[in-house]
Amino acid sequence: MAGIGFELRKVIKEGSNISKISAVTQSVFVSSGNWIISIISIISIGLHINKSTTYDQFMAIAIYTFVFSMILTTPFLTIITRFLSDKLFAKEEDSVIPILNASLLFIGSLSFIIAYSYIHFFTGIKEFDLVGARFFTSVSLLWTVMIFISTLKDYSFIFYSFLLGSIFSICSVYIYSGDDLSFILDLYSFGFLLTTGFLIMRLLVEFPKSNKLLEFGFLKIRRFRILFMFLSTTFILGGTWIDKIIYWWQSDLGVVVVTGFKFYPIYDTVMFLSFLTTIPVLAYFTVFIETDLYEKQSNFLFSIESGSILNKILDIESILNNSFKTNLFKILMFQLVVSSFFILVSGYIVSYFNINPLYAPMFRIGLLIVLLQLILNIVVIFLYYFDYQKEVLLISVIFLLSNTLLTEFIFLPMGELYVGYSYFLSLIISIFTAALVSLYKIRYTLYYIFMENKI
Amino acid sequence: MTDICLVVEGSYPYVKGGVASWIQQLIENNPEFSFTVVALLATEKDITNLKYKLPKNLISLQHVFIRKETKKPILMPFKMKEMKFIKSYIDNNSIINYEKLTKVFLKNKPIQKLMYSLDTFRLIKSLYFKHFNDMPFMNFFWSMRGFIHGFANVLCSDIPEAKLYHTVSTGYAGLFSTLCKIKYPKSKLILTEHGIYTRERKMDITISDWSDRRFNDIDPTKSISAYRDLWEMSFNEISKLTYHYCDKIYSLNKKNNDIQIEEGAEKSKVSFIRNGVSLSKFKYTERKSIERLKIGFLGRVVKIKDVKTFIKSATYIINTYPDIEFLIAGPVEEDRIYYESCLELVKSLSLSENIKFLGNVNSADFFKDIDLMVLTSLSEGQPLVIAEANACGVPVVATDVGGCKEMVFGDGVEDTLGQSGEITKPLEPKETAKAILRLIEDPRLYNKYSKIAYKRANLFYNEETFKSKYNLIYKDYVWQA
Repeated sequence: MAGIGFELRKVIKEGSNISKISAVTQSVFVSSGNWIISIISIISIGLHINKSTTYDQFMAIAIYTFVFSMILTTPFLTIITRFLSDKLFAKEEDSVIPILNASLLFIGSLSFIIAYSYIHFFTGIKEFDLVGARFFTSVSLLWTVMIFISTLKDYSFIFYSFLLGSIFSICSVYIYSGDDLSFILDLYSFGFLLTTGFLIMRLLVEFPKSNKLLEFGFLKIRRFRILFMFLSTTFILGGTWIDKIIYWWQSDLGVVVVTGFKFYPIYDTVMFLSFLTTIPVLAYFTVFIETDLYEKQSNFLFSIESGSILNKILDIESILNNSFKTNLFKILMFQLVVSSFFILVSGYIVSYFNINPLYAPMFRIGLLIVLLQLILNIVVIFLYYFDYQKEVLLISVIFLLSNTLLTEFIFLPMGELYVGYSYFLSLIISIFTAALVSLYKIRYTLYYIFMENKI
Repeated sequence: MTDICLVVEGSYPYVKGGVASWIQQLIENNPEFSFTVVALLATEKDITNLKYKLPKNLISLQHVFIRKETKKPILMPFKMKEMKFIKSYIDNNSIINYEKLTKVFLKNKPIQKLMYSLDTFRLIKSLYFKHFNDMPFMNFFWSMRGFIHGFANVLCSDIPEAKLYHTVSTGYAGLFSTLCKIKYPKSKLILTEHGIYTRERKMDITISDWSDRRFNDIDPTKSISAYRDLWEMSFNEISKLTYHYCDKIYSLNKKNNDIQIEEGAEKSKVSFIRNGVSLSKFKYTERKSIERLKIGFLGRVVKIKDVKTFIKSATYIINTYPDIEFLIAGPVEEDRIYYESCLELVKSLSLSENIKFLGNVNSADFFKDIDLMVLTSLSEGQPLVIAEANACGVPVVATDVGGCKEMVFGDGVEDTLGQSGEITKPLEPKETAKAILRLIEDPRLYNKYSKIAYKRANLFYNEETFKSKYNLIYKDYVWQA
């Protein structure tokens, strides 16, 4: 995402006021767009459904779709992105479309099978198995296409395609005004497919044709680091969601909306509101922090490859390390200010959203959670820049394990008063581990860069 | 345990050439002894088809791969307890420190830690800051790490037990042989140097960079760069160590003996044994004149043989003798790129009608077919081809490198037969052409050379002499052990 950050940074620094506003909007979209649109479209469509049973069924399928499509697709998209980057670096642009075809086929098939199986065998709404699977698949396909279209760096096109698809979904449901869930879901799916279609068309125009139809090379995990990346992504996502899933399914706090779909509405709402508070920081990170890190890291690697003397390399390394520490501090401060503000006004916010004020402490813990989650994500990104896959895997395992064990064995039995604490503590443990690992790796960066090469 | 372990680098039994043929001869001529050959190669890819039929008394063929990949550990090691021995040796390169270092390496084989530890990285950094701190660090790092890797693979290899170790060069083979002596101190160690290793390797590097320069510009005694100085220093050190551990040091001629002494060999250990050729195989025919106009080159088509000077010399002769043939016989696979460039050169000089590449030939038959042998090498030991040509009565035009002059002029002490050919400067095609023309145009001189050549081969380069000398040496050392 550093690529887009540079584009946006340039516009924000040099562009007109209108383009600056557009750039800021785009930066918000790029950093948090997926889930913002997901939430807005779910809420908009949900508000328009009159019948309560249909509403419950729709919300159940939609929320589970967005959550689990991200959990399912993200690890695969990580390795596809890596594979795609390697191909583009080798100037094999004619492999992009075959990889796209194979990715859509693979992710689409997997998504359909999983969604269909779950709805058909584990839920009380078997009659919606096919339509639910179609919806799940259409969302997964969109996430898949997104990683390909990002290579073109035409973020305006991405933004407007998304907007058009979402507008279609929302408007078509509004125009329909009925209660047939199948039709509502199909209209919603069509909106996603419309966006996906626009993006695919653009890809077909931009990238050359190939004799090959499908390229499944991304599934041949020949190197450990690719496997580590896949697992790390899975575990980090798992760590982020495991406490919620445990509360949904293993506590009395979980509410059955429809058989097979359980939620813990208050905790889910509180965490959603908390994550909303990170939007400004994420946008700032995308435009200013990540670009700065990327530049400094590129300079550092360039200094090595271009034949600099060691003293110069050490100086540039020092600049990079200081930049990391400084930027991490900036983000921490920025989010701390934002979180502190919302902690102060938490009472007003919970009452505005009709949440029982007794849950204000849960909201406050949620605000601290998102602060810590942000720090962890940034440290992980930094470690990824240097290809420290093993270390990220270690951190992700600790994160998932600690959140699972703390939730299951300590805080779940302690009741509703302590909801969120396991997530909070697991983040503390993970950040502590990540900090130790980062400091250790930063101290020996050159050693790892040079000596980790095989001989 | 075998009687004799031959240690050879980049040659027998996978490369056809003078040294490899010499080794084959040595094993075949001593059937009463059992042999092991330790072949030092770059990587497993160098194990190609055998170029020689392995004699029955060659019991075992072991390989040491200098560039063998070292597996990366799952967790990068920080410390290497053997590092203190390396540092002690760098600070004070005494024999005691060398033995401490090699013994711990032979025992622990810490190659993985050596190639991946933080201690090693710190060592490389400290060497960089001490001697090379204005060089690109990446280039220095990779050169140094490659360096260390080669030595480490040898130091961590398995040592076969034998009564006598016979190394055919210093360099990596010499390094390996010192380990044999340290591990089995009761066994004996002898060295036969065909060429002087460090000078030949330096020439290799020089040639690859400066292939079109004049000879004086590529004088191997001149330093080229700091990296190469370091390289040269290390291999000089290995030569000294090899000489130290050897019970006896041989070369092929007195000139190389003098160089060995110059490079640290004890005078009392040093002597020479000339190579020998089979006079029954290489039959003598008195040559009266260069009537067939067939000029031959026999050797590997590689840079160090400088085939291009031979090709270029044809341009000075072709106008006077348009039917003259230059026949280049010898393997071309070793350096295909060089061979292709030779073909390009022949084409560009429009000499395709006159210059032919024959590939591998039967050398005895080849000498029957040619009138004159030309050798334009940049470096040689004691080229067997000159002895073979001499045995057939074929005069030789050779460059003044290694033992060539002695083989053409005699050593002036034992061999006072006189001139049996011409000597020229390397990289001088015009001078080579003049020498060829002189012999074409002076049949009396040519005939005189032919007779002296045969006498020289018969008296001093006779295989029987060579065979009996080594047989005595082997009996002496093996029975002692």
